[in-house]
Amino acid sequence: MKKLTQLLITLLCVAALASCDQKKPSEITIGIIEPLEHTAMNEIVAGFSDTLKQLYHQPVRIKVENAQSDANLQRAIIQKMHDANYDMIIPIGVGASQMSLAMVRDQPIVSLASDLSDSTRQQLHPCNVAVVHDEISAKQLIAFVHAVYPQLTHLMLIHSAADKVFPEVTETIAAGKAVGITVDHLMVATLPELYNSAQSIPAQTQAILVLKDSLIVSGISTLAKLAADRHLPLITSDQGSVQDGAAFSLGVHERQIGVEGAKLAAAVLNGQSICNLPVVNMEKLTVFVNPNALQKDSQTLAPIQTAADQMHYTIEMTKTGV
Amino acid sequence: MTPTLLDIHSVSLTFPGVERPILSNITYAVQTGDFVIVLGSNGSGKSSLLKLIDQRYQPSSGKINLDGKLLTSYRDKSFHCAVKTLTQNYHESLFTSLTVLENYLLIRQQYEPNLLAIKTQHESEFLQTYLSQFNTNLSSKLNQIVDQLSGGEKQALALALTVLYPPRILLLDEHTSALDPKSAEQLMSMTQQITEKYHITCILTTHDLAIAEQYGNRILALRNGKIHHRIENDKKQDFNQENLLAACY
Amino acid sequence: MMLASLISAIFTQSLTFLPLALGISISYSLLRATDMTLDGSFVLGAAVFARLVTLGISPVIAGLCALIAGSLAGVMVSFIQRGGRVDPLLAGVLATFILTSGNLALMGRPNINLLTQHTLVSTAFAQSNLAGWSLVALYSLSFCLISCLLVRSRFGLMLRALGDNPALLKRLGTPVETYRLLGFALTNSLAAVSGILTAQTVGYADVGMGFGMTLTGIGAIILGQQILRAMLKRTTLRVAAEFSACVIGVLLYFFAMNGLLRCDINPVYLKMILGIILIIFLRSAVNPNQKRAQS
Repeated sequence: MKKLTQLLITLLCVAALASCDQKKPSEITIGIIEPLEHTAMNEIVAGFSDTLKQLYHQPVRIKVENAQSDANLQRAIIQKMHDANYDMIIPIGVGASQMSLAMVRDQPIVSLASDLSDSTRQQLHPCNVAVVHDEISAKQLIAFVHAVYPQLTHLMLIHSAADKVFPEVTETIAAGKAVGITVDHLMVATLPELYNSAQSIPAQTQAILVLKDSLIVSGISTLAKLAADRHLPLITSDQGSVQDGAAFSLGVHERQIGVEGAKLAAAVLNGQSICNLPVVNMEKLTVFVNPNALQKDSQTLAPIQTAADQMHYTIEMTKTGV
Repeated sequence: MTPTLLDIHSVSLTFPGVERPILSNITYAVQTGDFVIVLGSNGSGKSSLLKLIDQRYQPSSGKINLDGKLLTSYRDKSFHCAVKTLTQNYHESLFTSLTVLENYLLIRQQYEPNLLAIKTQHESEFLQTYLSQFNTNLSSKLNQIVDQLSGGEKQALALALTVLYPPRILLLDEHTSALDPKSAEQLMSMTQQITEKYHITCILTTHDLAIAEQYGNRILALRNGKIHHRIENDKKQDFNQENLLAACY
Repeated sequence: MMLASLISAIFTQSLTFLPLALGISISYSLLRATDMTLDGSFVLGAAVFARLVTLGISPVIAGLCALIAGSLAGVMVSFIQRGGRVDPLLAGVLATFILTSGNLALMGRPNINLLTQHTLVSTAFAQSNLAGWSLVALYSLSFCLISCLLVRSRFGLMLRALGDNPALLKRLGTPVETYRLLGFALTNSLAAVSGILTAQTVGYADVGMGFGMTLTGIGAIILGQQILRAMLKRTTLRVAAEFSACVIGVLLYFFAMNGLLRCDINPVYLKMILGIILIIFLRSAVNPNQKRAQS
């Protein structure tokens, strides 16, 4: 009996606590869901918060919750945001976006860095979502590589088995074929395999390419060493990997995804119909260059500079070089 | 003369990596109705001998016949019906997380393949009467989990279930050694009654010379894996503890 | 109002998790095997279902196929383990390896969107949330009930005997490998049921969606068992109690998770706090028993 009472008391305590998340009626509350811990996520969130402050002048409370790769936890977070009547829900990434859409029908959702197409969005009833894509197209990426190295014929694409990478691999191969580049690809399922697998890249390879692929990017220093040993340029698709040792990349400022998201959010808060907002593609591309890594890979800046100018991309030197 | 039931013929047992053989050149014949006591110090090879008869071990050389046929020529199921083992470790003969009744049903399904046809109500009445022969407490504990029974009750249950369908040969490997003297005495006398009642041939290992003197009609003393001494039924006068002690240790 | 929504959150999240937890419970408590494949079978169920539905196959058939796929995963594990040549833990790891790439191959890509697809529960959810969740509950609970009845039957008795003393069961002439196979088929198809239901309620199937599920399940079940043992003052639990322990554990786990989240606790600290609360709780719940046993 004593234990039963203990159990009941514990339950009551938690239940009492459970009712503590009361929302102030006057305040606008926005919930952001980060599926896992990643610097890129923080950049997106920072971009979002700063921009929203400038565009929307009412008091806004932004709650950021991190699900740490746990699907149960992510579900509980979304459920909580739904139940507490948050004024807007901002999921980051593909999985979080799909889960939010399945669970939330009556609150506006601004999906960041997802692959949700406009046609899928129009099929939803009601349509309650605005979208910011974060992928630069494979065509753009290959076109840039081709502009930098017109003589290049063999490119090695290293990718993981993770979300969303697969269709991009197919697209990249197709885009390469169109400009006469043979794209070989190598799948690495776990980080420890990366070193060994990468050793086996064929001799005719002239450059190594990595997409926006978090697993491979987290092991970029392994590839940077390989690239230096073999005198091959290591080309990536995000800012962080260049800071960590890749030669150069064509990508977007993660922050910019947040900025675009905030523009959509502000438009919705100002009363625009969410479904009529266009799907935003990241158009402002930046070339990130790591001069030290470039030198180690025995490459020069000149062709990159020329190609960037020619295609009107901003070029940015990273401060922390390897 | 009674026919030979179990014929152990120059059997040796070695384990890879162990220099000294566990058993070497054992030859022994067991007749139907024998109550053989195997004596010996720890490591003398008593338990290994039983495990050879039980086919848990295979002899490195030599052969063992049951009813004139090699042990290995028996089908698994009929062999395990004919030869059963009970050890001090009741875990080996019982499903300890199941109830007494469930244990009984599982033994029952060995002989009654259509388990679904077994009616629980009918069976539990039978089981109550059957168990009361072994231990009066047991018959009221059909739905208790075996783990919650006392040590004596567990061993009584293990014996009861082992002889539910009486085997030809019952191998008892120090099955009373984990019990207090009183329970051990009860279990031993019950074992004797049951084996006589069902004409079960028994081979029992023990350290207890008193048990050997009281219950055995043949004695086999092992030392370092060899037969050191044997006492046969017709020399019953040799069955005294001094002789036995000298024989084994 | 907040309490009502908390309760509904706990129940809805528990419903889709419960079959998996039951599968884990059967494998952990009855078969006494920590089957690491269940993570993989969970995803397999979701993967087969999602793939077939997007190919335009009726959700009912897709669901059945996913269920069968789950049980086949169980058959695979039991084949790897067969005859005790491969350590059970290693067998689970190997089967998970195979399933990880198998799931990816089945789906064709790492993530399949089900938001706009016609699924087993989409019509009910279109009517109202209540109707949708009632249907999910119906599916989930009927599978749980069926497996509960199975485990209490004579078939279940064999499974429990197998978990308790496989050597003895084998000596009794029972085809133990067949029962092991059937047991694993049962637990893995329960995991697949969870996967199928989860994919439909969260709107997608993803190769990574099973990450850590088995571990969470084992945690929840042990929690439930401890509480029930303390309450019943018993050291061993019967079949019915094992199932209740499973339900209690799962409900408590989601209760704690949702409760803490709603208290504005940063999810980064959530598992740490959850762990500490559970330790305090278990210590206070279990201690008195031990004291009695010692005296």
